[in-house]
Amino acid sequence: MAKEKKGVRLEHISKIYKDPKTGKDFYAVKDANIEIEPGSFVTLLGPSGCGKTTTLRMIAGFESPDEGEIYLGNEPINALTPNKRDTAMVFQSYALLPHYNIFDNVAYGLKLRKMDKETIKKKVIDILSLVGLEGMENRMTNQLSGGQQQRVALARALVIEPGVLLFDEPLSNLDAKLRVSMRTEIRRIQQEAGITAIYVTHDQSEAMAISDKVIIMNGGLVEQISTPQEAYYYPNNKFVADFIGEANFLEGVVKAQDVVEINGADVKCATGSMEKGATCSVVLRPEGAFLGDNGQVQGTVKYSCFMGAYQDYHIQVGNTQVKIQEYNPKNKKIYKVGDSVFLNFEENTLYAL
Amino acid sequence: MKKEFKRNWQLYLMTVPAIVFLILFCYIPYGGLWMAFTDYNIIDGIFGSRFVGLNNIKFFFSSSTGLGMKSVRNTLIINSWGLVLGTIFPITIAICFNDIANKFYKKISQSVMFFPYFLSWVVVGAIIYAFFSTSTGIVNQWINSFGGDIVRWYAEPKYWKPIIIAADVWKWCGYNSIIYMAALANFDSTLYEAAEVDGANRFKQIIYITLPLLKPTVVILTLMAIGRIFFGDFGMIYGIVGNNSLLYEEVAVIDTYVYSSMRTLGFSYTTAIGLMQSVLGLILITISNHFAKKINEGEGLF
Repeated sequence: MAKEKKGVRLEHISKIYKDPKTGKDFYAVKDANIEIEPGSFVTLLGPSGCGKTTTLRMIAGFESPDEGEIYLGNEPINALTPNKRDTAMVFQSYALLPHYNIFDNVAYGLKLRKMDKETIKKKVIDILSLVGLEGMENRMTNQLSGGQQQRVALARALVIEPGVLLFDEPLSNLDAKLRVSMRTEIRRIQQEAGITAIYVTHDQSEAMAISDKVIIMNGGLVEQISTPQEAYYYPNNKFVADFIGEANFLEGVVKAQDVVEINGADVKCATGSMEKGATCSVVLRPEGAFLGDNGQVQGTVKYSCFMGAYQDYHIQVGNTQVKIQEYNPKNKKIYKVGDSVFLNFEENTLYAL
Repeated sequence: MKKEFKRNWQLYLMTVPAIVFLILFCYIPYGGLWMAFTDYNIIDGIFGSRFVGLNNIKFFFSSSTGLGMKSVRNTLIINSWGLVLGTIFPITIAICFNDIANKFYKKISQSVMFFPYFLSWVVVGAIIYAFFSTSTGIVNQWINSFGGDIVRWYAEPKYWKPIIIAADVWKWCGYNSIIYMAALANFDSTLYEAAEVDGANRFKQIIYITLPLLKPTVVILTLMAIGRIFFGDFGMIYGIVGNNSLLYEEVAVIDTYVYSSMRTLGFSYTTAIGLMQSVLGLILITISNHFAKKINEGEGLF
């Protein structure tokens, strides 16, 4: 599929809905500015009701934005209907026609584009082998497993050779194991097809596993656009820190550039451009600290539980309880509830907000 | 079986009233079907009367007026048209209503379409009279205003099958469309969105998605209607045509014929005809169910 890859740009996009109960207007998406590079795999990530699906549906053309403009490549597409947009979508419920076999489902879009029979046949066979369904053209869709149906849906979207492929929570109807193998599969197919992909999910591990970039949304607002690593290590705010992975927030005061006082102890912590004397929340990941009889910040063990791969602790530090996971507990001292311990932070793990 | 009964006897106990009801009002009266094969008189009783075999049914088809055979023909014609048009119109209306975006207008038009269902056939008959009355009817006034010759509708039998079929379809249209709308509401909306991405317009979406998905519903409803195809709507014919002897022959259905002949020919005869309607209906529905399963991926009525 030698086709020009297209980027997507959202400029000041807003969508306003009416609340059916109160009758009041509210922003489902507010002033979203997003730039998606050609050929990249980008995930819209956030809790339910955050506006991620609305954003995707606006790109697909099922909803029209109330404010702003969407560009595909350099072309503004607000006024175009879904079939004129050079986008295709893979739906959560697969959206396969139940009375058609696999071949006809995949060929449907091509037939409507009035291609000749030979071309259609070749394209469908090619796409089916790309998604790993070769030789199954004549099966009816109700004879397929969930994973296979999702592959058909993917083939159906890919066969019309869109510039941008949109995914609306495509894996949420599959069981956990299949989800993991299908997401690797989707990533492989996206790279083989060399296509721009926008993927909606509420599952942060899914997003981390397949994305070049994640767009984290909350309450209609775009909270952060970055690589998964950046979002994990340098979250823009508490919401992002909490949503991506697990996070503890320790209260602290900035003492100097990259020095923060936590519970009476000065520790090294990235402070960015924060001023001296400012209060801040220090983000600590559960794996970012280890316990010892002496060290940097003192606390008391409130909960201690063996989880196999790690020992799970809750440590009271000042007014907050901190969750710590110590991996490989066999070789480490195990602390009991009530023990007094010190937290030692790994290099470069603390980040002040 | 015994164990199952012992464990859940309370549940089985709950079915007793329904079973008693069925035996009392559905199965015991079956004995009365014997009347169809006798020359019933009230003194000798059902089982004491003279056995005549299939003579009653033979008489129905060979009666000198030929009305028996005609009524069968009329019943089949009126019901078949009712079946075909009564499927096409409600589906069309359901699809149209389903696409109305304005909720208020949708509700209003649905109610308006549903309204005829609440009218009795007597009222419908009056409405039809208002349309087709020779001197005061709307239709004749309309013809008059264009300078045409007025028609004496109630003296011209040939118009009345179409009029009755139209009234039948009109009365049930809104009601039947509700069933189809309920089916439509259950369809996955993403099917349509996916088709939209593929470039299918509204019309193609209806042809390729809506109608195929409606097929099972249509098949089931059609099968149920076929089972009753030998039963004419007595209220409809009497409400619209009444005792008009000029039109009677043209629109008499089995049920109106039975009604008028019961007064002269007695119980045995009418029982025989009722039994014949049911048996023919059963045969037809069994055959059509067999074919329905073939086109409907094994899903039939039974």
